[in-house]
Amino acid sequence: MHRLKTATELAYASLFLVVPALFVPACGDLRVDESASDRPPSGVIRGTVLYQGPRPCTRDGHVVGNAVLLLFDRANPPPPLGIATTALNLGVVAGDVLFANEPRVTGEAIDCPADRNDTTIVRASAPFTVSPAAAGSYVVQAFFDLHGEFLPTFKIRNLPRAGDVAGGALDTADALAHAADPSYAPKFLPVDVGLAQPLAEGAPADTIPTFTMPPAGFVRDNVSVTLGAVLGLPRPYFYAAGSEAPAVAPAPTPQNPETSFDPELVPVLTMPQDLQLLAPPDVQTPDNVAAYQARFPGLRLIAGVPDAERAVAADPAQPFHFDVASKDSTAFAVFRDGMREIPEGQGVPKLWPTVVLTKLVDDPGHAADRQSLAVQGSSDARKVSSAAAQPIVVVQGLTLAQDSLLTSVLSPPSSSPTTENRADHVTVLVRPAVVCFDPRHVDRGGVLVTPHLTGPSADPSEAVPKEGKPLFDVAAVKMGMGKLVRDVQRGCLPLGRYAINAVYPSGQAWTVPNEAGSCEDAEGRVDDSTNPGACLGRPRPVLRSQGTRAVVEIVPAADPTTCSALAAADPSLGADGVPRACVALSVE
Amino acid sequence: MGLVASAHYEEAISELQRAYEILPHPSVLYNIGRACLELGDLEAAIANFRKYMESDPADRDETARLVENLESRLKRAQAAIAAQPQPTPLGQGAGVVPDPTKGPVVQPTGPTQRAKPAEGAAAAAGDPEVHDAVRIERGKGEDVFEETVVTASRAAQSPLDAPSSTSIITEQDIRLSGIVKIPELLRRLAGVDILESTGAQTEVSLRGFNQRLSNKILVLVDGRSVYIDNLGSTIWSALSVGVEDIERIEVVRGPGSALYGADAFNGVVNIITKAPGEGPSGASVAYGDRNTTHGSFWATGREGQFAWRFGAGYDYVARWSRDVSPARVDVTLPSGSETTSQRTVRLDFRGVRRLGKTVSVALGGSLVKGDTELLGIGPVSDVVLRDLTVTDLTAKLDSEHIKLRTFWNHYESPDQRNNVAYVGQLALQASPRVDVADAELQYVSKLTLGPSVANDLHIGVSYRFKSVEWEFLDRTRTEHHEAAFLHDEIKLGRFLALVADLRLDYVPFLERVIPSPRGSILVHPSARSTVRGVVATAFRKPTFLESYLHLDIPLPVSAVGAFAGSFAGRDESSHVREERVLTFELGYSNLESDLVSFDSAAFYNRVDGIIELEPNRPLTLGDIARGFDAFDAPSNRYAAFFTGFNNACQGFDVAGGELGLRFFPTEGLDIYGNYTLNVVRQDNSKCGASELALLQQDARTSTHKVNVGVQVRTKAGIDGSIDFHYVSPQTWAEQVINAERQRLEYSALKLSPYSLLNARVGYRFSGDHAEVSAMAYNAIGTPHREHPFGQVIDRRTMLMFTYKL
Repeated sequence: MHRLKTATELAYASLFLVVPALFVPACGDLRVDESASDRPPSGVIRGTVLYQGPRPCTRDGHVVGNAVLLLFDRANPPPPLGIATTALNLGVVAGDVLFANEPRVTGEAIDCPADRNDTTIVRASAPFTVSPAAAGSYVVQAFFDLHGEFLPTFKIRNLPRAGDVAGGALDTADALAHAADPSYAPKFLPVDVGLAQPLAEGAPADTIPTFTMPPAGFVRDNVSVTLGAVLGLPRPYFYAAGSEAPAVAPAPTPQNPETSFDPELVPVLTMPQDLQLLAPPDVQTPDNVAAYQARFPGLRLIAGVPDAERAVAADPAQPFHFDVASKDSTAFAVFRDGMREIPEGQGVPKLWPTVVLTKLVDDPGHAADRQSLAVQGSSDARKVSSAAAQPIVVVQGLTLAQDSLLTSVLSPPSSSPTTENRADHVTVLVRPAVVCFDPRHVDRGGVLVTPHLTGPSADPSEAVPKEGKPLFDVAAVKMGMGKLVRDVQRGCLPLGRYAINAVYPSGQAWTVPNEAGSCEDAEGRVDDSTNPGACLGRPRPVLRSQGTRAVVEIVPAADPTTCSALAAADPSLGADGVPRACVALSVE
Repeated sequence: MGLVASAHYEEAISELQRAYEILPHPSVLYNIGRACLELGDLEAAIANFRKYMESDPADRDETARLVENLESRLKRAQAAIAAQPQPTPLGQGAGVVPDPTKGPVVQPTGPTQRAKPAEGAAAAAGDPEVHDAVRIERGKGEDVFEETVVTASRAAQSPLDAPSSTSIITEQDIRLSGIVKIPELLRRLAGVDILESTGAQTEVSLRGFNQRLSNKILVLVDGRSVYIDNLGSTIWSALSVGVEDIERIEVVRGPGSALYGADAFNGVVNIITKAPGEGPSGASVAYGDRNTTHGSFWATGREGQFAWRFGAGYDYVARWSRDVSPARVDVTLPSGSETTSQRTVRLDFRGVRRLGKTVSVALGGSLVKGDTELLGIGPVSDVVLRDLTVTDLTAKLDSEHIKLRTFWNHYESPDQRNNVAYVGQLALQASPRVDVADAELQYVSKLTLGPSVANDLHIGVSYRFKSVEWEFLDRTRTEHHEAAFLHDEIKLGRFLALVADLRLDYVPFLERVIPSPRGSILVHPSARSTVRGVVATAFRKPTFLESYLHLDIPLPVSAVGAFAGSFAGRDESSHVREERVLTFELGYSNLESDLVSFDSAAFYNRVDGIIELEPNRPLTLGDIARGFDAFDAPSNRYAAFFTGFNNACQGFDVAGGELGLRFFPTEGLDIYGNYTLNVVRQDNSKCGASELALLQQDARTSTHKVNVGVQVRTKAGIDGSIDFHYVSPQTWAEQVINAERQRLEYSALKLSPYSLLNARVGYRFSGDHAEVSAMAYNAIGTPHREHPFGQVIDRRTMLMFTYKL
């Protein structure tokens, strides 16, 4: 007991000695701890949307559609100015807010004054806010979605259509000055978010600096977005000839190997990675030009959709909402880009729609990107794969007038999308050349890669040096492609599947494959027994013409020694002869 | 009581008075009266017996007869004294009229102020009526200080007889800790997981699976569920009782669905408030740093057969930390403050009227108003409930065989919103309104078969109506739950008891009946020890949020959101199911020694079907084809993908145990320590390849937890306590927004181990009516989080003054 009593006394003593020392109050301001916050410092872009255009459509007491603001990296705007396929951020001003004072119908049927030949021009404005926005320099492209068709997650519904009112944060004076030029590309003004870091010494004056986000966040105020250009053309809806039907006697490819062969993945066109072209003839006779053209793989893009799919594609009750109700409305507008020529020159005019092939993520197992939608190096790729980011790889197509290079040269279409310039299809020559970009620095230009710089002439009578005749003037091509190409390198082309994009100067574009042509994982597999097809899991029609066959696949070299020889000669190439800049990003 | 039995009456009175201070049980008054009587102090004996009768005990009539006899005896004694010469003035005690509103009454000691013990004892012993009456007390000498629990079996019993592992926080524990947040009181118990997420909200779970808006335990206040049905959680800051109103808190570890139905998944916390009419009235005020304020007032009284208690309180609690700097220009604070976490006032009234010997009717109601803050689930982080109103109306009928209980709980917050939002983004504003009406009818039959077999049977039915209006749901939803239950306990002699329970719950959302059985066997190797074996199951039904979710969740792209819907985007037939747990438990408790008590339990839990936010499914054209409107006008956002709730494919095997010791080395000194082991094995065997690709190992429950504390009470009035808590590391598999991939996905977030030291020192004065105290929470001051997204907890101190009449 004595021991117990001593222990008790000790416990008391320690308690009363120690406890008071613990009561020192907390002082100072309330602790700030942002480390666990799901709202880290970010950017806010605020400004005003100014609209001038037709009266909006209304339904059920509400304005249909919204003003949609698409934020792109200033270093990589979408075609035709750049190669971006997906906006980095998105802002919306609800139609009800923008047109707060517009009268509106209360019935369930949509009422569009423009469809009733009401040509009244209205003006409206409303404030907008886009947040959160990462640090960077942006361009803001915008349009008013007149019919309420816009859905940002679907390629088939994420760009403006005929009748929509386009614009952006742009140089309005310059736009007004070029109002009559159908090939005019607006000058978008930079919208900077964050603090610009100093440029490296000696950097060109037009280099876009790196921006960082200050700890307190950043507000970019007073951005003016103008909407005023009514789009006259529908999007360049098309399908690649051959994609509308199952493959016949298909041959497996690296991306569709024999072990997991899928007839829905058979490409409409293949191109060997070492394709040899003929050099342009000095004397352009029909035969010479035809011979020159014949070495190019040719894509036949047919406007609209096959007749069997037309009704479903245009049916408002279906989710596609293609503007393809009639063949006339869906014809391509093939017109010349001013007096511009293709980079190779030779008097070949640059025609709209331009066609660009974009490499899709490698997915031989057909598991990560079942619908062949994810463009390598884009944000779409990050959605389907957690693998390290890869370069963006594109192939520039060459649009022909009336399927003929010679006709394109001799009788090019005019430079406006007139009725005479409509075509139910276009033929596109696929150049055996890719441009590989680092998606972090598209503005620094890409590396143009081609397996051959020389070759035999398309004119068999032409005397050609032993090493061959140059296929194109490297300097002229670099100049012709502007800042898009910083270097030209010989190498084999990266293997893979390439999506097909057709673009008008307004930025309206169409891409295959797209969501309409296949089924998401959650929708199940495609029922092949019907036309149009159908998803078996969660039923809805499938437009096979827009499906996973609508790609160009670059396949292994016809002559395997070509790539190995290139690899042996150039240490910047991988063992397969493909430049490393096309396969992986450099470490920064 | 040994001192009374051994005729050490003065010591016994002193002990009993201290005991009454700790636990003001009416039976203590009776025993003080008895000791006074034995000592010959008739006035004090009468006063204490009278005060005992105020509690309206079952033996009120017998006690009244005793008092009558004592009074007549006192008169005779006083008359005899008056007839004698007065050597000194009459003692003060002789003329004192005891104040029945105070504590135990004992005359001031002094040789001239009371009859000699021998005389008194002889006087009492010489009166046959008094002698008979005093015999009544013999039945009251046993259970006064015996801890009693009711939660584990719906009937009062010793913890040694409880069919589940049960712990108690006593009124003394509460007072000496100085803690004014009710859930924080539970931290000292083994097997309890505490997660203080904001200043106002603490999440509580038992044996693991704690989370933001914890939903694995059922919290009761005097048997009334305070579960908030839209969230499936308990908002502790919205309880209408303060710590001063609590008599004890019972914590039952392990599945409780067999008794309480859905939601008593991992256990039950039952807050037992002080009975109307018992204890003194009083008030307390406390103020601490960051303007932390706690005020409480309570009054209690008795008028004839009617007893009442009224409580009121005010609490202001600051946030532990700010989520964003005040310098930020890219965010707004829609809630208007990043300093306040809770500001509430509460009112609570309970009354009970006895109708005869065995029947009583109780009525009560409460109101809580104010603002409070929660850490929401998934990406809905910090949520402020402004202008919160929580009310209840409760009625009970208690009789020997029939027990009827009804209540109506109402909860609404017209202004629920995120605490922080980016400029230009909506703050998930909503105005939830929840109404719950609940009725339960129970038949009780106690049957004794011979000297060694006793049976206690409870059969009951219950009905619960629920209505939830909330913008987070697809529409206003109502549900009708029905249940039937049976509890039977058979005691076979002193050594063995068998307990069987079965409850059948009809869950309307699932459209089926879910059975919840429990079986326990209790073996008493000695009178004060128990070996307990339990097999039980429990389930948790999907909450309203999990059942009917319809919400657009913002993503890091300005105008794109995730549409969270329970039905949209998938077939209704595949909706979420209930969570299930199966438990095997073996426990041993020993209270044989007056110096030390021991309690232990080992368990194995199999947990399946945990409800979680499901992996994202992209918006498809098929959804558009079926009429899904991807543009959400109120939020100005386009849906990019669907999410919602589903049952996780992974199961969990949990093995663990609790070991607790409490020492009472000498009067006024208590030392406790306990250890909790929780080993979790995640079983992914039922997960497909796509699910496995998304999974993270979930180790949110600490493997080791240790609690140690000491409580000191001195005769000089100085009290103190120190509590130390250690929690080992955790890894939380939380679903967060991946900004790059634009989707919700699991992320493994590690939480460092942390220790917490709380201390209090107090001084009682003015005849123990008044007390001042100082309390330090997290006195070491080591900042830590208790959830990866929780606020950073540092030191808080507080001064408190309490006065009891």
